[in-house]
Amino acid sequence: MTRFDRATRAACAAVAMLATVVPLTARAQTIADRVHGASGDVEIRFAARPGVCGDGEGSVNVRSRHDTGTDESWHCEPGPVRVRLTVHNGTVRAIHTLVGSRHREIAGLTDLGAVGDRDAVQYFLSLARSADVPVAREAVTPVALADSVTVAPDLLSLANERSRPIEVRKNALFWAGQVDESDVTAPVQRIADDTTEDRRLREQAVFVLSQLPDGAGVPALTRVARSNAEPWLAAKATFWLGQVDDPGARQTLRQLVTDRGVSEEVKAQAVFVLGQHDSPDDQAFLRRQFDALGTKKLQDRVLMGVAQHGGPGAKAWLLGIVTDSARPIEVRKQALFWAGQSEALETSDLTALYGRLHDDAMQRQAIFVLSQRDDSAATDALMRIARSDPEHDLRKQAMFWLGQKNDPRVAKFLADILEH
Amino acid sequence: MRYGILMTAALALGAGRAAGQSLAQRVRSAGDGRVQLRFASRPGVCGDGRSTISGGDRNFMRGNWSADDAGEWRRRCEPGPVRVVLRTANASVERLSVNIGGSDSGSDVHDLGTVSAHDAVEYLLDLAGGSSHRVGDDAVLAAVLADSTTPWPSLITLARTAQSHDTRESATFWLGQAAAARVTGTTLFGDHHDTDESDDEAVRGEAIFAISQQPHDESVPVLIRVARTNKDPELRKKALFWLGQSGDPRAIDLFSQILNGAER
Repeated sequence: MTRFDRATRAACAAVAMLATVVPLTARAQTIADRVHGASGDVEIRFAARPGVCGDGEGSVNVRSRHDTGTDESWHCEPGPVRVRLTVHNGTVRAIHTLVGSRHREIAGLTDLGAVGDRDAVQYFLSLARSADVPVAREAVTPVALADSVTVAPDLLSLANERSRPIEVRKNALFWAGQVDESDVTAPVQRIADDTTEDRRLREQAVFVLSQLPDGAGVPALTRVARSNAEPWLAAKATFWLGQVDDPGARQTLRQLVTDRGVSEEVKAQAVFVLGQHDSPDDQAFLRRQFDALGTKKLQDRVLMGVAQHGGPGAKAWLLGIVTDSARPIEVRKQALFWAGQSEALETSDLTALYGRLHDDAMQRQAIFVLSQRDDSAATDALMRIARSDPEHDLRKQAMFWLGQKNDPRVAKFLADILEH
Repeated sequence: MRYGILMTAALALGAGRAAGQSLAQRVRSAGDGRVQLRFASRPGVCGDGRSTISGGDRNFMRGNWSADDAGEWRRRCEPGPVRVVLRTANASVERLSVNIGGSDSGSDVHDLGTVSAHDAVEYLLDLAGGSSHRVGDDAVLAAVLADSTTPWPSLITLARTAQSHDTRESATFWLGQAAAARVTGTTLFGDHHDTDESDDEAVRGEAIFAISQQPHDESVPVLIRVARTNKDPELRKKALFWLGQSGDPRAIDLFSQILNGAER
C-alpha cells in the first residue's frame, strides 16, 4: 500500500465518519435542546390521541373512547397537537396548547416542525416536574393530548408529588381522569380520602371522580358524600353527584336530604342540587320534604329550586306558601321573593296577590318584588301603590323603588305628585 | 424715657408688618410643619375640640367615633372658635383639619393665633380651589363654619371651577344648604328641626328623594321647579338638598339666584 493510498483511504474514512456522525447529531438533538437554542415564540407539533380534536385556535375537545356521539356544531380537527412556547434566554416562559392545523401565519413564530409523541411527552413531563408554576401547570396539557403514549401513571405520579405546586398537581390529576386509558378510580379516590393531603387536591379528586367515563366514579363519590367525617368534602362530593346523570346518584341525593344523621352543610348541598334539576320527580320530592326540612336555610333552597325549575306546578305551590298565614313570615317572604325572581309568577299575578295580602311585612315584600321586575306592568303597579294605597308607609316604599326605576314615565309621575 | 418710646415704636412697626401680611403669606412664612389658626364660628356650632363638630341638625365626625359615644359627646359639644391646623410640606398645604375649640400644643405647631373670619374664609376658599379633595373638602367646611361672613359668592365660583371634583361637589352641597336655610328663613347651623310631618308631606318627601334618583335631565328641572315654587318650605328645602347633591350646573345657578337675593 502506498503512502498515497493510506492517505486517501484515511481521508475517505474521515468523510464517511462525518457523513455518518452529522445526521446522527441532528437526530439526537432533543426537543429541549432545540427549544433552548431558540428565542421568542416557537411551535412544535405532534399527533393527538384518538378522541382529541380542536379548531386550531383555542377550542379543544376530548371525547371518551366510549362516547360515540358527534358534535356537528363546529369543525373539530383530530390533530395535530400544536404547542406554542415563548422562550427567553433559553428558558420557557409560557406554553399555549392548541389542537388542529394553523390557519394563519403568525409573525415572529419559529416553526420547529413535527416531533415524536414520546419525545413530546417526556419533554413536557420534565417541564411539569421542574418549571415554575404557569409553565409547569400548562406543560401538563400536551402530555395528556399526545398520541400512542400511556400517560395516566405519570400524571397520577405527578399529582402525588407533594413538592410540586398545587396548581400543577391539580392539573395532572384532572388530565389523569380525562385520558381514559384505564380505570383510575382507586388512585383518585385514595387522594380524596387522604386527610394529610392538600384540601384543594382532595377537592379536585372529588371533581375528577365525577368526570370519569361511564359513571365509574359515582360509587366512590357516593361514599365520600355519605361520610360524616368531613362535611366540607362530603358537600363537594354531593355537589358533583348532582351533576352526574345517574339514577343511583339521584337516589343518594334524596337519601342525603331525608337522613337525619347527615350534616346541615351536606343536606343543604343535596337540596340545592336536586332543586336545580328540571326533573318533575325531584321537584315533587323537594316539595314533599319542605315542611320536614325544618331549617330556614334548607327551605330557602327548596323555594329557590322550585321557583326556577318547578315547572307548571310551581306557581300554585309557591302562592300556597306565600298566602299561608300559619307559616312563619320569613318563609312566606322568601317564597314571594323567589317566585318574583322566576317566571313562575307573572307581574299580573303579583299585582293581584298584593291586593290579597293584608299584613304589612308581606305587602312590603310584594312591593320590593315588583321593584325587581323590569316590565312596565310592574312600574304601573308601583305607581298605583305610590299614588293611592291607603297606607302612607307603603306609598313611600313604592315611591322609593320607583326612584330606582329607569323608566321615563316615572319622572313624569313623580313630578305630577310633587306639583299637583 | 427715650428708650421706652423707641420700644413702643418698634412694637408698633412689628404689628404693622404682621397686619400688612396676608394670611397666605403668614402660613408660608411659618415654613413646613403644622400651622394652627383660629377664627370665630357661626352661632350654633359646637365641637369637642378634636374629632367632632355639630351645628343645628348636622354632625361631622372625624377620626374614630361610634354611636355609643353619642351621649357622652353631646355633653362635651361646646361652642368655640373654628380651629384649623394645616400640615405643610415644600411650601404646600398637604392636609387640613378642622375642629371647634381645643388646641394643638405640639412643639412643632406654629400658632398664628386668632385671625379674622373674613381673612380666613378668603384664604381657605382660595386654597380649596387649587387643592386636592383631601384639603379642598375640609377647607370648604372650615370656610362655611366661619362667622359673620358671606362666603357664598366665592363658594359659587368654587363650585364651578375648583380643580378637584370632590371639592366642587362639597361647595355645591353647602350652597344647597345655605339656599335651603334662606328659603326656610332659618340659619345654617342654628336651628334644630324636629318638624312633625303629616303623612302626605312624608310621601311627597319620599317623592323628592325618588325623583332625585332619576337621570339629571329628568330630575333637575322638576327639583328646581319645586325649590322655586312649591308652597311647602320643607319640600323646597328637601328639593334644594337633593339639588345640592346633584352637582348639576343648573342647581348652582339656582343657588346663586337664591343666595344673591333674586329669589327667596
